[in-house]
Amino acid sequence: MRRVVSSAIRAERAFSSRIASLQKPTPSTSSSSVPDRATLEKGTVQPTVLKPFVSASLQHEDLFNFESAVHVDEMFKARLHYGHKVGTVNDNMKWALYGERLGVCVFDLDITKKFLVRALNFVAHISMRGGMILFVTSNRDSMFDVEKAAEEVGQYSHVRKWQAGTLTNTRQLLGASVRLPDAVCFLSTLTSLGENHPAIIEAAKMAIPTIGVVDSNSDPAYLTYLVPANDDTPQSTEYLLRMFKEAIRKGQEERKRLQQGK
Amino acid sequence: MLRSILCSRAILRCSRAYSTESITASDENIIDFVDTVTESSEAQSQSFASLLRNSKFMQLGDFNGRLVIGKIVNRIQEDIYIDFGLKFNAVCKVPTANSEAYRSGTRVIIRLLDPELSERFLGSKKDLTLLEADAVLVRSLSSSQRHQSRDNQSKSTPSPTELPQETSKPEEVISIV
Repeated sequence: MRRVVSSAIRAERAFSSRIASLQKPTPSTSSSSVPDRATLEKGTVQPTVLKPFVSASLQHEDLFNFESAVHVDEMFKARLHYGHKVGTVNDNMKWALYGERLGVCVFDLDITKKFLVRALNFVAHISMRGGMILFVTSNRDSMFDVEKAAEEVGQYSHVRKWQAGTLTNTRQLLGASVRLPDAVCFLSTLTSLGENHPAIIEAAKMAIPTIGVVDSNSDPAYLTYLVPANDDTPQSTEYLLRMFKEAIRKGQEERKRLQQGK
Repeated sequence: MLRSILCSRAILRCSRAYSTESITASDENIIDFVDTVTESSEAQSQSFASLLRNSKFMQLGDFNGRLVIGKIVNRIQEDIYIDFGLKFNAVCKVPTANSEAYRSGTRVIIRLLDPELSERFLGSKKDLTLLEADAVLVRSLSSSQRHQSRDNQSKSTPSPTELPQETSKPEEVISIV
């Protein structure tokens, strides 16, 4: 337990110093930059107590204004609301459903919008801080789209068979210490056999935040940011990729602006 | 009333991707009007509930046995994958007659049986899904222009509820895409 806390403190320091270096041009409102030890220990249980210590840009719910970029009718047209049959539904996904129509689950796009905005905000923040985002899918129909989208914005993708330990055992597999992604974005969380993608657990083990597009039959466990939506139809994946790309671009532009302002 | 009829008729035409029909001069102002409607000025303010309520998905009613228009998105030897606007594609065999006509991009009429093939196997808690829809290919849409135009006419009569249910009348074909 002691070790966990101390490592958390170290990680927090590293993170906050990175943020502070980014935030230099804009005078940050919270002047007492480093929280004391007691607060940090409390923060391991209740992270919200650390909120006054993070930078001002992180206090904002929707810094990049995605609320006006995400439209319900666009999502509707992209078929984001279609779920699977009710027989396949995961109990932990019922919160996102509007209901069922003759045995077909339908997502409530108002809920989806709320969660998509949250996820996009997170992606843009990661991108603003120069983070590395790994796009993962196991859907054969959309693998090329995902690869292309990731390449377009200078990020990374993994759409083939996931080798066990790709995140957790890099030293053995790759023979060198490599940088792990700062966030993993799953465009579908199930493999073709209907099992959870092994990367979800690995990312959770390595404390990498994850964004997951979860369908009505997916398991939302271990994912940090959920986007309840259709993950099978190509149109839907296309739309989501477009939004993620836009979020990354917005973050990159903001980063450029901040660096030039220095 | 007349306005709404004209509007619905023109929207129908729009949803058919401007299928080649002779547009008379008087129709032009209607087309303008429809453009403003379809430019989603009102669609953006619509709530999800009303979007869903007015969607073709709802108007389809019971899926079993409905005729829907789909587009072939992929052909692998004798299998064609038809996107008809729901979650999954339907996979059908190419008919032996005129099989060359069924290329990707061709619009076809299918008889929808099930929007998703899923079945619960003995002992499992959840359904196993094949991630495809079940449908029977009826015919290619392009080879039956005459039939389609007749269908159009039947749709432009006053309102769907007032339509007399004749036995000779062709079944209504719904385009979800």
